[in-house]
Amino acid sequence: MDSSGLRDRRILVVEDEYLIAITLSDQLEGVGSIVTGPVLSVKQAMKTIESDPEIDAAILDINLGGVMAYPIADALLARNIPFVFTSGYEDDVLRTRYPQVKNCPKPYLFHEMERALAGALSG
Amino acid sequence: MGRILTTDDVEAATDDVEAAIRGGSVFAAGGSWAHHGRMVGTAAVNAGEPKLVSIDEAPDDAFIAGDMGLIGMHGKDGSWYLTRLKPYRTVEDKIDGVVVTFVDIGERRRAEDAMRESESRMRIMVGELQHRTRNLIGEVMALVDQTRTAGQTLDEFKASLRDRLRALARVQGLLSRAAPGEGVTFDSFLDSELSAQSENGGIVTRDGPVGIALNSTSVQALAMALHELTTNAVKYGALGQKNGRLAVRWRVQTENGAPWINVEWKEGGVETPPSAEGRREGGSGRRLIEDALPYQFGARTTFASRTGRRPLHDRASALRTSVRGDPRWTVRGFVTAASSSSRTST
Repeated sequence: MDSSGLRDRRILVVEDEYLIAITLSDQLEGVGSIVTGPVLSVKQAMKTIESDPEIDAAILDINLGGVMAYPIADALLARNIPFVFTSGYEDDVLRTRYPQVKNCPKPYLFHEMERALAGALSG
Repeated sequence: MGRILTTDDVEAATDDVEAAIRGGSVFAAGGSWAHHGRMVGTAAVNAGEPKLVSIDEAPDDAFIAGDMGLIGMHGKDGSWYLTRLKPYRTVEDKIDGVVVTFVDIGERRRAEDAMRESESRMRIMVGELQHRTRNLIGEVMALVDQTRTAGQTLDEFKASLRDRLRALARVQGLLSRAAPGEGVTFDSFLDSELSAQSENGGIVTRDGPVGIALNSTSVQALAMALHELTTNAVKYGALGQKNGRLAVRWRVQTENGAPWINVEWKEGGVETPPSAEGRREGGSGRRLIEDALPYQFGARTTFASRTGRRPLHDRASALRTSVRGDPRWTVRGFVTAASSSSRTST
């Protein structure tokens, strides 16, 4: 996949595991994206979405320390910000509640995430 | 006049409708079976004592119609009855009443409920396990990326990754062995990390309350940070030298109603200052110590090492951090102990 789809794009990373968050951020920066965050809670993510109008897209871990990230998803949808879920769940809730949003299930390889995110951005 | 339904009545009604009628086991209901049968059954079961009533007590406008009905009834005390409605006919083949039997199926019902509940719990657990496993594999993949550094040989990479994976495995082990409602305590956690690695000498002093449970969000990040500190101490610091001293001190305090453990890790007595060249994994290790804790649970962390931004005197590395505790913590005692970390000394 051509990485130009993510170049200079401002990506919000919401992920509650430090290792995964920091690795994903490194990888995004590696393809020229500008990472906002990473943040690990609904509260932090909502604050970031409200204060940063430049966000182009987001990667959203659906389970944040046992708290479901639905409010973040709703806020992103309300602002027409494309995003991709990443979840360890084979999640029926996601499919029924957000049928239009792609899930890139963990564990993913970066190029899978890249492709999913670029698809969301162009879709 | 109503009377309390007995097992005999039920049996009689089931086996021999005529006998049941003769015994006065008669009930009159009007309207359709399902509707009235349900009303009758509910009324009877809610009274807690299903009753048979004689036909004389039925309202004048009552009429009986339909075939046998079979309805499950929920009693007010959580009991369950299977209600069976059977019309009886006169010699002129006119429906003249109905036999209502209540069969107590509470036991069976409860067993079924328990089975369903345990099945759904199991499904939730399997789902959760699936989630955790996938998450953990995601973390391992991230760890592979974080461990790889420029200029590293494959053997160095392998050794470093293996060590980190073992630290991850140790913390999973601690979490799974922790008593329910207790969590992993800071002291058991520290001992597990120190005993896994320290073998080359140095004196370790531990000083702090025993039995302080960690918040589950703290455990893994703290494990990785302590692992990096210990690894560095073994390779370049206090745990790798005979005269090295490592002091770990922790105290508990409550902040905005939340318990925090303040941890201080200090190394001293290190004779040969480690050279910066010798610390190839410094970058990612430093991140795991310095950045992971604030990210993961909002810790206030300061970290300094000889090769770091802040030069130290007589110290290989020093960490001060706050760690989230579990609100259920209780102090079981206090440890102030110095021990040699050397396994070869007796």
